[in-house]
Amino acid sequence: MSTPIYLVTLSMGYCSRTFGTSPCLATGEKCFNTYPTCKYASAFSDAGKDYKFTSADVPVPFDGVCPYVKSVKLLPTEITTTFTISGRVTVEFLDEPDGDVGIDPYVTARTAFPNIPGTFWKKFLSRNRNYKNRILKVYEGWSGEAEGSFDLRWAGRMDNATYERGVLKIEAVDFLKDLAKVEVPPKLDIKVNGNFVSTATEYLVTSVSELDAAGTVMIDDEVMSYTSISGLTLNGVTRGLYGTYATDHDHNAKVQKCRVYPPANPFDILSEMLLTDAAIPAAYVDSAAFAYWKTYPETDVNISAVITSPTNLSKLFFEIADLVNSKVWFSESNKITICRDIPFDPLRSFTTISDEDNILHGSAKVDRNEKARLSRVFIYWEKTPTGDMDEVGSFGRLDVAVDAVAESAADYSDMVEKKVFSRWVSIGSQVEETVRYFARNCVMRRVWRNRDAPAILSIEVDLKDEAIKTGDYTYVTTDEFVDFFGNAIESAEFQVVRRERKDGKIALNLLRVGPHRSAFIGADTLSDWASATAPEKLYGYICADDSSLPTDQDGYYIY
Amino acid sequence: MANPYILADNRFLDGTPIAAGTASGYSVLNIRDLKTFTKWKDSAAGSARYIKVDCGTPKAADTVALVGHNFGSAGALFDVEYSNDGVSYTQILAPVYPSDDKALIRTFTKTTARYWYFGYGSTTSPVEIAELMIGERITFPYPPDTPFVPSTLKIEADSNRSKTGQLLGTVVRYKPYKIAPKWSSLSRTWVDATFRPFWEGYASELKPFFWAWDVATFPSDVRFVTIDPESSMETPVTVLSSYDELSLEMVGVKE
Repeated sequence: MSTPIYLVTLSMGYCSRTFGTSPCLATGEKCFNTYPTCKYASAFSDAGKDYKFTSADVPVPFDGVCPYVKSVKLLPTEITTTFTISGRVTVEFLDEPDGDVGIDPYVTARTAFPNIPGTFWKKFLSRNRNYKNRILKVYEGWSGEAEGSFDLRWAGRMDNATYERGVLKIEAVDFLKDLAKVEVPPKLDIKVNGNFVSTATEYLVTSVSELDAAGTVMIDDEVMSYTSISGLTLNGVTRGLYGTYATDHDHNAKVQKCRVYPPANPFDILSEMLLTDAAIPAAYVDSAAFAYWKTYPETDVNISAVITSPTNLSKLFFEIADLVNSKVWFSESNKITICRDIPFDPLRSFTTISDEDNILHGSAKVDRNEKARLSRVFIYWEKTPTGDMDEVGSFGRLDVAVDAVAESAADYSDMVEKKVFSRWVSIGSQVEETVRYFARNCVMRRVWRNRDAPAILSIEVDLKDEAIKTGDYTYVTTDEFVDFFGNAIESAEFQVVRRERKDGKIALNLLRVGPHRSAFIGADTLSDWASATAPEKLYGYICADDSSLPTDQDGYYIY
Repeated sequence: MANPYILADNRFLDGTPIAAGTASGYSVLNIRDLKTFTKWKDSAAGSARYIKVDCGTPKAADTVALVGHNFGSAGALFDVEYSNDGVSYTQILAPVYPSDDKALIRTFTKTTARYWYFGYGSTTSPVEIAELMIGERITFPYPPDTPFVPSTLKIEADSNRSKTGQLLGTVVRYKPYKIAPKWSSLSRTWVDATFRPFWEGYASELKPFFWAWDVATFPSDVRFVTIDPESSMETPVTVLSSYDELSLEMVGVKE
């Protein structure tokens, strides 16, 4: 029988020198090898030191740790449509008197030794007052596991510490906290220096420090590129790009840097936004997932855009994720990951959840999630670079998907529409029909998926089901839903869209996968529908002439 | 039933302990910090190994106790020796061969000496010890009142049941125990001169100590405990020469 354990590490500054030994020429009372206590700062050499702490309410799992962790409050992992899911983590530590053994390298030389006063955390904060922005990591593991087997659950930077009645509370901030604040392109204060006529191919600006060596800018409503910079002059200027016109510009006209995303696969652009625009370390991006979904089940058309005014990166990112029918989230493995929202994927693996084996007594709740229903979706595309995003007139194309049956008086008798304004989809040098097919499918899939509101089942499961993660698909057998005849649903497909560990339980939100099936043609060895297994039914089956299957389930659509 | 005793006195606090060898990150100072999660570990297995201390002046001891050790699994033995010159040592406790890694306590003839020496040898792996005490024990004048419960074991655990009543998972975090002996009609002289200083100067600060209630009959029933933070020391008096009752409520965690 195992017990869950948190391991929290704090990475602090720590000098590799020895007090009073060259090159450290400090004298007098010895330091504690931290910068705030350093007496010879010019020789300070930061080798870093990890302080390790484990849960206080379980036996110490291995040597070299202090069991001071009273609680860890992690935010849930959740599939949403912005990057605001990241945020703060709070760790509470118990305090106790401590003799500095293993902490103070000169403890035996102290006057007070062996009766060293003070508690661990009060001394820690005193000697490490520069704790802000140092790295805090939270690992999860089980008793009996080696330290190396613990899973990194969260990493961020320490932000603030408070101490109350023997408990230290450290708040830490996710590395991705500021992602929602990143603007692309950045807002700059650069102006044209002197008049700039429509035929000129070089011009003076007031500053070049934040411009790229070669790039694209917009002045007034004209987009132009330059190939080099000399002094404060932009050279090799090509005028009137991306459907704009070369015009005269006055002295002091604002120069706005542009972000050009040349035609590329949408998943490549998403990766570029994370790694380049947001400068997220590669270790925090699930590159394998981006690479996999780039070509499965099919490769999308190339997309492109010229961003001519500062725009929230999160907004740009999720415009594309939405366009390619994908969900993105910050996963339990501490990475930004992605998955296409394909209702029935034969290559997908499933976990199982049932009333009997998993769902805790009294924990289930169903939200019919009516706000998620859609009956028609519009996509406006082929945007002019300088046009306003919310102006229909900025777009040259429109595709619409409508489920007229759903809107009929006999069915929902209601029209629920959504408009997508896409700056990313344009024909460019691609085959027009291919791009139109892409745009049309984009809206059709959305209507298929949300024709009926996808219900959300909220449950709690035991820690034994710890392996169920956000984004996982699962077969659910529960009497929280019944079929037309009152029978509990069996092996119905759901996706985990929210996961939160709470004490000895895990709270999950499961989004029901819509009844409409996308068809992948299966092998001729598959069983007939009546005897097919759930995984076999993920492939397309031929339906009856009323488009239903023998068990009154909906037939398949071509993805 | 034998008379219970407590060991809270430690000669290793009278000077800086020195070990024959120490593995990196396992300071020998950890043997006296009263924390079972910090350990000292020897750098190697072998014979004629030691931890010794120079107390500066002669100090008495009659008991040795250790917890968080691996003498059983390492096939190790130990003895206790003393010296007044730091060169020539005399064995005061014959070699002990622990059969397991649980807390243990041994007594020996009370001796006063400046140098104390915990000698040991191991065959399979380096020895490690979380807490080691050599000092003077406090022996109660009588056994506790009957019925005496040696320990009340509890379980700190979480368990969940499914919608259909299945027991899904049980997590046992730790197993705390409580020991609450009582004595009637203890001499006021003994309580005020011996027990009260221990309570006021040590136990009430929630510092851990060793407790053994009948080593002769139950030699393995040795606990490393603290006073229950909820407890208090009350000494009602009816007859002036003795206290009516003294209780000692202790808590610990099962090894």
